[in-house]
Amino acid sequence: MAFNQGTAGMSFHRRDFLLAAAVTATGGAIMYSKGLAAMLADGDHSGHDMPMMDRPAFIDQAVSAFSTEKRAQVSAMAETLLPRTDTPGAIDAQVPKFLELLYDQWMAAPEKQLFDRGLAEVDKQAQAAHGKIFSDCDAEDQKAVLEKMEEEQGDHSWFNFGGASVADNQDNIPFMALFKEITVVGFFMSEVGAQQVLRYDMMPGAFDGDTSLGYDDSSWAAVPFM
Amino acid sequence: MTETMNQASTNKTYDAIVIGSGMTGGVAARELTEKGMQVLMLERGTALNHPGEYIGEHAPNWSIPFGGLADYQNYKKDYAVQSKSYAFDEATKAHWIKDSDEPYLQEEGTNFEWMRGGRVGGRSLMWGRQTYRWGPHDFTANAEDGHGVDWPIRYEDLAPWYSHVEKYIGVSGQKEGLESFPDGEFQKPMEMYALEKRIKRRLARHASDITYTIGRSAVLTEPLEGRSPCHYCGACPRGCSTGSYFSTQSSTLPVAMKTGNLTLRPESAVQKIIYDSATGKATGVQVKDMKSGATLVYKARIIFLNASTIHSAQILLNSKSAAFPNGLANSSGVVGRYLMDHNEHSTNMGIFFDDIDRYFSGKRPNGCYIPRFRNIGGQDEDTDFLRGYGIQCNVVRLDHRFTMHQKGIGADYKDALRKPGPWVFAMSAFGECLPYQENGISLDESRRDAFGMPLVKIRMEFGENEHKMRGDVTRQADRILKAAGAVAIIPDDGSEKPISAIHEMGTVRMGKDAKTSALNGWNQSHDIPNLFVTDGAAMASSGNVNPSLTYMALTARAADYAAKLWKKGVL
Repeated sequence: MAFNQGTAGMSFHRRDFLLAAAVTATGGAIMYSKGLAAMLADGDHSGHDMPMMDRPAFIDQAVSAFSTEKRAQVSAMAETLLPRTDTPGAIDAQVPKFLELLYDQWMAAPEKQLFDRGLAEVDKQAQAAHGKIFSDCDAEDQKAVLEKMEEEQGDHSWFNFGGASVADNQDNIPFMALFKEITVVGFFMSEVGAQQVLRYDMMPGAFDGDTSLGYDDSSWAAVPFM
Repeated sequence: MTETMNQASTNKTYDAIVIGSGMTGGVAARELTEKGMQVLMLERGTALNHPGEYIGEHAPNWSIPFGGLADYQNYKKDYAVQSKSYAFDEATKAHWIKDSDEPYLQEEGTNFEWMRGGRVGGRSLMWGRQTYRWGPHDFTANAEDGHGVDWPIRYEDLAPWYSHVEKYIGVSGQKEGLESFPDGEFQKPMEMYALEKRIKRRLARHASDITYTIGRSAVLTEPLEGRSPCHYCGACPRGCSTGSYFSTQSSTLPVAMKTGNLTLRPESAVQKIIYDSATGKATGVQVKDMKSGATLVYKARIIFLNASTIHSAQILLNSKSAAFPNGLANSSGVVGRYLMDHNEHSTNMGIFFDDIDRYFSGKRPNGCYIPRFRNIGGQDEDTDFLRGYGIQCNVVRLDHRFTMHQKGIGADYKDALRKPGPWVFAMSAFGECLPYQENGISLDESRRDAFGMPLVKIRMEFGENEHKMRGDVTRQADRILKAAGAVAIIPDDGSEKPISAIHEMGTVRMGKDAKTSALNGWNQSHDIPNLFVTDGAAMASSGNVNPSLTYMALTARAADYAAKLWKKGVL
């Protein structure tokens, strides 16, 4: 199954998927449905919603909600939270664009204001401590700014073990909770994050509850518990 | 099934009309059509064709809008209640009703979350798939402790119908040989996680009164009727084009369609059942066509009402006539009353240090189960509540969704989130809820929903017995976690939550006496011999196991009975 487990730069075409799904068949028992295959093959989805597996990635939409400066600041902040190491970082995974899309399409006015106030505060603190706006600080200073912000805001219940998502509870959420959650989600749910940082297997075909896990092995990409 | 083969006709008298296409409507349609009856199935929701129209199935994570974050502005507006369900997300959203289309009212101070399906297949599309038989004690509990009316049937009456249904819906599970937790016709059980096997061994030593078994689930582990075994992609409620979990679409509808005897009419909202006082029978149903807005009448010799617990009562209460001024089949006055839902609470959670080097492949859409162990064969000496509860258990290897809440910025934080966190063992108790007359629904005639129906007003609240039971759950969960070897226990915070097990039942209950119940032992109206109600509404008590299998077995049994009367010309 070529598309599994971190195939770099893999784009997800439906033919690959259908082929892969057929290959997955164990003892001929699992075959992908003819109905869905036909629906995808005809390529005309007018009149009904398109299967999500045949849609472009969420990140592939155009968006223009941020100024150049704002884009630079958000990029620097996302990369500071989740930097490129031996695995890709936030910028590699297009997280800055994800945040811009969320700002444009997902946040209500109060959350947009919270986000904007947070960015202003980040720049203010960068100026006060390091004499420069956040994007112009070096990586170590950028990290120090966000750590200090987190310390100031970190007594909120979002920071509890198993805290509630900012999407489920917008009451008095601090900026750093909003920023961390949407950055983490954008990163690990991205194609790069799921395949090159985590491990991804859409059609496992079998369950094994006793595989071995090495010290440095990544988690599976998330699938909701339903 | 790709399209409706037969066109519905208002000129024809069908042998039977089935109202609703969910869990039990599908079983009714399958059973009746297989016996040769011409059946019209009416569904309020829109068509959803198997296997090609599950738009969220196998959606890559990066295709899901907003990375799967709840679209809270939209949900507050249109899905205020439905979006609270664990099975609701952008990839399943199309399977639910819009709360803005059909709001409901609640008595002040009560909080019940009413989850509803918006497509053909109803909630069988998004259900949790846990599949358990009632035990013999469940059918005698009302008679023994005096709460509710005695069931008109016993376990032995339903046992063959459990078998009958299990064989075609497909249930995987492990036989345990317990009288109070009867085994069924199982496909091979799903595998346990290493940690679950370890917990099972420890419980056998340190809490030997506890049975810990793999969940009995309507997810296939072996082929069945052209359906494939589970491929472990994990998010069943998005739909399954291989038909690996039971739904109307995967199982009952294709068989009913194949007989040639079924006509399915989606977007057909039943307003009322029409009663003929001359014959004392129901003659058909009045339907609002949701496409054209037209009011249509369909006729049948037999009516199966399977609209789901609250909607079935709503339809009966809305079907008033001179003969039935309080609603059809309601000479007893019980229709709409004795609503129950399971006393469900997530409880203490354990953190484990075992099997840190063990992992998994495949997303098993199933957990483990601890069947009821309290008050079996009589009241336990140390309980202050009646009846009991079972516990659904899940071991979960935490990932970034949980660990992101920790402090940290930078490479160390990223690496901590990239790798699996500890194992946790989470438990959710489902307790029996006693039937209380004051819990139920009424209609507000002054307001109508998008389907033209008067709004439902719900009053659902737990009583003292349920609250006491929850206290016992917390104590027992602590004992179980210690016996299982948890290194840390996070206790239940005891907070009050909405009632939301999605196991609502009652409202048109069965019983022996026509004065205190609406249905007899065949799910047949005491008042109207050609009216059968076989969804959750028929339940005279709630038991504690997940109820769908019992509804389906009751439906198959009632359908067999009705078909025999039809064949004899009695109905």
